[in-house]
Amino acid sequence: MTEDKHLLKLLHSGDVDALRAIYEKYKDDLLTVAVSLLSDVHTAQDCLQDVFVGFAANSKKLNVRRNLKGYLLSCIVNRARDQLRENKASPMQQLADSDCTGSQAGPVEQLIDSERRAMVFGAMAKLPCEQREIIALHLQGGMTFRQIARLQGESINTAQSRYRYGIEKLRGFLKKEHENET
Amino acid sequence: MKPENDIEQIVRETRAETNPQTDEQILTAAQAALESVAPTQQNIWRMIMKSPITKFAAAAVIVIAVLIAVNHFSGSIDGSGVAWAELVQRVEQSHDEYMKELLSAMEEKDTERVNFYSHLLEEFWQKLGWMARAKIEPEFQIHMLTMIADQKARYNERGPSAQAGIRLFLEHEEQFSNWLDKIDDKAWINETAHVCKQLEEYGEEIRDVAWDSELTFSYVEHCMPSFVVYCEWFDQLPWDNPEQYMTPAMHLTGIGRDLNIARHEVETLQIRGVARFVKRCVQQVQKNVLDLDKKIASSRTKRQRELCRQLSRRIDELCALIIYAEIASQDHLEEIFSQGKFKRGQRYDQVLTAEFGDKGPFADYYIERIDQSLDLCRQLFEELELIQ
Repeated sequence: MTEDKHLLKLLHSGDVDALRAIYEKYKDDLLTVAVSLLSDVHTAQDCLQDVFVGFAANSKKLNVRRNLKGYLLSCIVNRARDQLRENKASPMQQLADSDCTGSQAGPVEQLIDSERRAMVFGAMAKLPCEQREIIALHLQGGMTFRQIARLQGESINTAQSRYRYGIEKLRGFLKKEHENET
Repeated sequence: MKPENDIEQIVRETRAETNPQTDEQILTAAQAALESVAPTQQNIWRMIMKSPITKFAAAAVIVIAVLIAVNHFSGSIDGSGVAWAELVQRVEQSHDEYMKELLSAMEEKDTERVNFYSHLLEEFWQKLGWMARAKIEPEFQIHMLTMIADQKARYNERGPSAQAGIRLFLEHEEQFSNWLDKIDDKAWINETAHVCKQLEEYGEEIRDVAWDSELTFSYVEHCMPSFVVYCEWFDQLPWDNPEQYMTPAMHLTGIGRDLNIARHEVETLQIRGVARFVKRCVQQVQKNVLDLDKKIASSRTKRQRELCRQLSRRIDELCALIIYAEIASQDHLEEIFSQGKFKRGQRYDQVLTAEFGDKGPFADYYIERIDQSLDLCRQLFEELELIQ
């Protein structure tokens, strides 16, 4: 929190290194949430770029006291919603694993990772939009239910219910996938 | 892999990562956007924030924020985040450097360096959310006080920290004896109770601050009594010199260099009558504008369109009046302070009420005009309603 405030203050004065530091700190969380919501790596990367360009362009107007991670996650969710709306409200389902991994792991680990990513992101794409958002924001973005409820304009109980339903469905989808595999 | 077993863990661990090319592309675009941003003008809110009254309110909020940070901080000191570890390491290094320099300056009886490094040490502790004071006495005896407030005890820790990395400090502990007892005798200021009352009043906003600190409401409420500890330090505010109103409090809470943060807090929280009144007016205007849009959309006759145009002009006028009122109220506040109407121990809301009644420190002329303008808007809306 303190580090974010410091970075925001530097950014407020036009410090490019601060922008870079913020990007490095949150890029993976943001991209993960975007991919979960959109199921398309390229579109998710576009979203990430749009969010950071907007963030940099409005850096002087930003409210320093805000929770930076929460703010950026809200931006990415809003951008993703716009994208989904433009694409008639369904995730794109074009996962290309080579594009969403930057790790230097060995080929076996990469293969396992790739399989898991495809399975999880694919299963998430089948969830209703609200449930997908909550699961992505809570588990991958690290937001609390209270924050997510605020973002979605719902009560915390609704957010928690959606989360439970979403997890149950996801469990079902993945179980089915697993059974098909074996 | 049995995905159904621990679904939450699996989703949590499923991450997408960017590659260097994408990073570079995004950062280049963002950097270009950052560089293209023109310098912003000082806005009207910022003008209000120059007021010593709002500064005081900011102090209350900031102190709470610091308190939250202290509690939050103390709870997560051994967090394992990489950035955090780096930060701690950097801070520790600088502390040890200051200590080395201070001790050498004391040996050499170099007053200037002693003062300089003792001040840096104060700042070091304050940055960590501690209250810290260094007092240099004749013969270069330095007394250092550090303490941290907690909800369970008024002062639950004193003296040098036992945190790792403060090695030199601990090695020379005898040179930094506490002098807390000396200041314990200080009388509590009359404003203490009032500040607490203010905090109750602004509890909602403070909860918002807490929200942003990712703390729960109950946690903040639990922390609230600790604020009393900080109120004690308001005794040292230069009540007779409002120009320097904030300095000691901000200094004590380690935010002396962050006046802008205080202003941001007030800007956002909109504390005190000026901001509250303006906020209400602005909300009214926003509502009017929205209603107007609807009316325009459904206007069919010439008379309806004419009324909409009049309404639009009234709303513009209202916006202008609000801005003028802010400027005028600023002048009024400056006048109050320049006339020395605020005295030590006096509750500032009493002074304001005596001066301005219930409507806050606004110029009467503009209050009247704003009320009139709002009435006219209402009438126009009513007429439109009747026609439609």
